[in-house]
Amino acid sequence: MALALEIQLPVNALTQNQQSLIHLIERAASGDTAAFEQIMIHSQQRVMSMTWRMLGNEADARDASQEVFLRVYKYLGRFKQDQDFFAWLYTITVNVCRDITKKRQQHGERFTSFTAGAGEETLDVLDNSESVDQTLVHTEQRELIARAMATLPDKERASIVLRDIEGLSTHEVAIILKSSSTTVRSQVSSARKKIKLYCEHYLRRKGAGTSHEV
Amino acid sequence: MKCKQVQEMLPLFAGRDLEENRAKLVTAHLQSCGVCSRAAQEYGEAGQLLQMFEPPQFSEAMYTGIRQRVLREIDRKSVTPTMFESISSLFRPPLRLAVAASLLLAVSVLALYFVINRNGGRQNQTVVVETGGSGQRKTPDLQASPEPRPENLATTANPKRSATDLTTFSSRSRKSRFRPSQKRTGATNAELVATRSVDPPQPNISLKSPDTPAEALRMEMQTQDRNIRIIWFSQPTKEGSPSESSKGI
Repeated sequence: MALALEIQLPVNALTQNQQSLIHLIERAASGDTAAFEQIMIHSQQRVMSMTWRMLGNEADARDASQEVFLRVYKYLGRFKQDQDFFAWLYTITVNVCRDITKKRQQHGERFTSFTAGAGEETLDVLDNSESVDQTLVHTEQRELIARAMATLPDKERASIVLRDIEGLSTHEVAIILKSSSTTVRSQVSSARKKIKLYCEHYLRRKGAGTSHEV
Repeated sequence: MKCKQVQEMLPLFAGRDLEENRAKLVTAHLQSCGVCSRAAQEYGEAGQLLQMFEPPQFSEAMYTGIRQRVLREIDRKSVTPTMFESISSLFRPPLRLAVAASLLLAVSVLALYFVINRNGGRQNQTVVVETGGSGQRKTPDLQASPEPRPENLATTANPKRSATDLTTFSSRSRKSRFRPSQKRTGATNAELVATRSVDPPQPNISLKSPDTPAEALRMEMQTQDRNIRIIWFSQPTKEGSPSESSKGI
């Protein structure tokens, strides 16, 4: 059984890490499933986080991650060594999430809220360094932003997740989404505006509610 | 810079996505405008909230489960390829081209065969359509004989006219072609011969005269109008009785 361990490495190690990754990719492309499993271990957390942020619940994120890795294995032969592997991985992840969202819409299912199940999990585990109040505030803020993200269209959500959360540049996001930098900037700008307005509206309502209670 | 312009640029400014020169202008405006400054602060807070948008901590068991399912699926597909995969494996690029080329060739040959046969059939078809006095159309006759092109119009009123002026058809097979028509009265009966031939047939000038008084004489003349043909024939006569001739237009 393989263990998953993610450690922050210095830049030099990253370069070496990239080379070892390329080596793993070559072996996996020729049919070495053990090498492919190492690739999965290396990237599973990234993929799972991305799918969760795009789809909103653990079950869909799990299915999507599975599909992502299957497609990665299928198209590994098409991957070029001069390409950025994680950018390529993000492209596949975004496409899988888009397909699942489309399927959902065809079945008449609405976007599942991020809050489903998330609040329960976080409340179960209390960080010792935080007080209960702080944890509750944290939870509330996370739920707020999760609700705000759920209101965004798929493309804007993907843009803002890749740009503001994953920390990729506008150019990298444009490559992943097969779009232009101008379009990505426009989508990111629109997403940030909507999130800000949503939070503002929520806090205003909360403030009005509190004043009523008083 | 106006507040409205600054407010539009604030989302990009908050994420440091604005061009340098524009960012400087926005910064300068924010220093003097309280409303825009407050809006910029709100964008900053929303951005910080976004950084908290983290997924829950997924267990190692879940990750292991995903990997195992993926590897199992890979093993299954490698052992039993799907029907689509097995069929599509036949269509490798070089083989695919060869199959496509051979299909195209086969279709072309078949098409050519049908076109040639169709044209050849046309040449041999002569449709004889008779309309009786009541105007009813009778079933057409088909005869495999080439049709000469009408050169000129010849009158049939005077059978003594030179045969060179006539374009005639020889009645090879009277049974198939000649319909013993009833006595006709004037112009009410018309006999039309329609042809489907496209090729210009050679004029066939021949006048078959009966060897014996018992044989019928038949002459057909094609007018310049392809749809109109004049047929003249006489029925065999008994000795002493005048010959009956009929003329159809």
